[in-house]
Amino acid sequence: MNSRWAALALVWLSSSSFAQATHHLIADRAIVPLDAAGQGPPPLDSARWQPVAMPDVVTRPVAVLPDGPGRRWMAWYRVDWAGDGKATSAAVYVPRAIGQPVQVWRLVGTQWQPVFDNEADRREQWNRPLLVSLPPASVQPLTVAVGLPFADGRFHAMSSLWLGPLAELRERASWRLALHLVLPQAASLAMASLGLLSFAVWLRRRKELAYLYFAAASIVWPLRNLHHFIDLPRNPLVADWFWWMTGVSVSGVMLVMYLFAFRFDRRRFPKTERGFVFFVIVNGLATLPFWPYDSLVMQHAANLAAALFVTVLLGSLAWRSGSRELKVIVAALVVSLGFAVHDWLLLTLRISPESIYLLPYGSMLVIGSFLHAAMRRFAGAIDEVEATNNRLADKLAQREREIEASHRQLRRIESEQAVLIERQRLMRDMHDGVGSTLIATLRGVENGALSHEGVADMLRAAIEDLRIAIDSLEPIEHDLATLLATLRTRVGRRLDTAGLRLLWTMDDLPPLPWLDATQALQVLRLIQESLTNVIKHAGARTVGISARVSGGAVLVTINDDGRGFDPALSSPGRGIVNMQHRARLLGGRLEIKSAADQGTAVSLLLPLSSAA
Amino acid sequence: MKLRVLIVDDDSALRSAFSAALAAAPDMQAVGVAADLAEGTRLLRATRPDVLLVDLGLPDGDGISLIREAARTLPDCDVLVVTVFGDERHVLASIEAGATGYLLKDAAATEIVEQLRVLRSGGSPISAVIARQLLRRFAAPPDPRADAPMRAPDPKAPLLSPREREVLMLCAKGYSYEEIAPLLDVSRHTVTSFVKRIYRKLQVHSKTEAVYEARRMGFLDE
Repeated sequence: MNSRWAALALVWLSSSSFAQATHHLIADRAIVPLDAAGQGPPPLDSARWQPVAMPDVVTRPVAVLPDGPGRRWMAWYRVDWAGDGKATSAAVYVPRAIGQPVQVWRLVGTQWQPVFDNEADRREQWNRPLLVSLPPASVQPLTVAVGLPFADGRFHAMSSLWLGPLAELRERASWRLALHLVLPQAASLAMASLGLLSFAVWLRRRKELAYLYFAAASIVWPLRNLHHFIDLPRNPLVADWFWWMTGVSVSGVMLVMYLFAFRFDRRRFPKTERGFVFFVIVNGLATLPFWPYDSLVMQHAANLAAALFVTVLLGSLAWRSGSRELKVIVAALVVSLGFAVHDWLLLTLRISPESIYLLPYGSMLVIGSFLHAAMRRFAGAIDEVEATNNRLADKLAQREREIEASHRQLRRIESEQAVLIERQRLMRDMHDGVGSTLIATLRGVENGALSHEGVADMLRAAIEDLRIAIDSLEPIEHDLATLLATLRTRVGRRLDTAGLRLLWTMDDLPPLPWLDATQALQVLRLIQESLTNVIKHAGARTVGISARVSGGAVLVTINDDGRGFDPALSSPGRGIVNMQHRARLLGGRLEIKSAADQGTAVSLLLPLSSAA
Repeated sequence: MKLRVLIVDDDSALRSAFSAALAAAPDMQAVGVAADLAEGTRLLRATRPDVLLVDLGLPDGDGISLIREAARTLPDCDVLVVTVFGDERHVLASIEAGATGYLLKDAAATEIVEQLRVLRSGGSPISAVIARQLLRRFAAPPDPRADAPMRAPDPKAPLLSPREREVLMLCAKGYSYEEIAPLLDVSRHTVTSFVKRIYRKLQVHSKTEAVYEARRMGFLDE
């Protein structure tokens, strides 16, 4: 069963478009000297060609001292393609060629003819897959030679070769192009924008240096990756400085990465950090373009050693007491270090040139781990703020409950106070009124000085006092007329008994907001006193009680047609002094007009509002 | 035929004073005297009096329930609430339950008999405070909250006629029946009958209110 599935898969694979081109892991090689014009066509003599395994590599030494212009050679690699039986545009595809500009020639009949020279893109050749389409006339069967010029003893490398239909090879080439170039470019741009964001955060929060280092790392990394995807400068001097910048930026990237990791873990290693800064400077100085030696490989080796040292330091920190975030960062750094070793091996051609430079991907990992750390911290800060808010809300609620409790207590005390005042008011009133009357009655009865009728009168007076006190508590809704009406009911019988006719005149009165129970009792007692005076002293036949609004006040009048008195001749009695005192307590005024045989008019002026 | 009076009061002095006053009146007769609610209820059912004299604070319950029963089962029976002075709130509750008059405990015996006669002939007493309370009860909707839904006027809820309102206003200002009669150009008797009619309306009014409230709260189906 399994073998049948495998056979099916094979059929599917071979029927796909990838089945037509030939992948040459072995090619015929011929090395020819170049002439002064740099030309050396592939030889026609078949004895010059020897089979060789691809890729064909001469390793780059760690340190190279220039030995002047030696002889130059061309390594030709010859491959064939039988064709697919269809008239297809064909192409040759070279994943990577390290050395001088590649040439492609084809065999037409018995003659080699040049097809392509990569002179124009020589600077970018190290990282650009080559796809050379062949003129339609040259289809099937096909013999092609790919030439790589090199100087005597200098390193160079030719990857394995592909020959076949253009469409298929274009797809292969574009995949490789994406891995060499497009992905690192996209990721670098993304990193740079993250760096700007982080920089903006740091501007607002200067104390959080980790954000600044993050910004620096995500802006320097793209600089370091730049040479993977841009067209390199044509000017040789500028190109030299560009390469120098690329080399130095690696150690710069390392510096800010490690500073970020330290600061993120809230640590400082002044000696190590100063040492690293010194290393970056020395590295930069030692690789300045005007030194007469090729330092690239050594520079990378030094970077690797420094990176190894700090990564081990960070690793031990993370291992011993680090947060999860730091562990993730260290893991990313370790992987990147592995990538760096790989890239150093690729650079020195100690591994297949068909491998891909991995450090740009390592930079994505590291920035990703930084991002993870920053986001975790950011989220942690938000969580903390929320927790703090919750705690504050709890505290606030508790305070509110406390305030509510003390408010309740205050209200309780207030109401107790009100009850106390009310009690004192009633007690004073009882003491002056009902109490004294009852005591006088008792004394009179004990002395035998009071007649039966006298006792009844005094008890009636006591009951009247009591009723009036209770009337003051009735719900009269601030209506003075209704209040006076209750008094009318209380004293009505006494007036009848005294043979007094009552004239009652009540206008429509506005509600008096100040007329509460206490003030009501004052009004009632005042009028009661006045009526008692009329009954006892006036000898009148008629008494009038009226109330009306008069000039911003309420005017209550008690007038009789009795004998009156001359105010100039008699000093006011205790009763009148008492009435005047009550009028003042009410915020009002009492006027008494009288003349001998002219009756008496008592006028009480009361305010309309409590402010008066 | 003599006026048949039932006295329900827990004050023995008062009971005997009332009894004596009734015995002295040629046109009246005490058909029963009770000291508590249970006995009062029993006697109310047994004697079916013309007038019920009842105190509110009975030892085994509220006199209001007896008033309610009298109003329900004996529509022709006048209920007179015996009250201490200054108990206007309870008087209002009694009127709502069906009483048509009230009597002060310290009223003279002759006054009691006189009041009974007036009441029987269709007149009811009223104090200024009660008049004021009644004005408010008839003016304000039962639920004064602003967010309560507007209520369609219930045809069964009686309103005061302008005349009745005028009487109540004058009463609230302390005018006596004798003073009100010439002001409105009617007889004193007419004024007192106005007041009795108002009492009856309050009884219906509060019943309508109760039904409305009960419906609103879902105790009653529409």
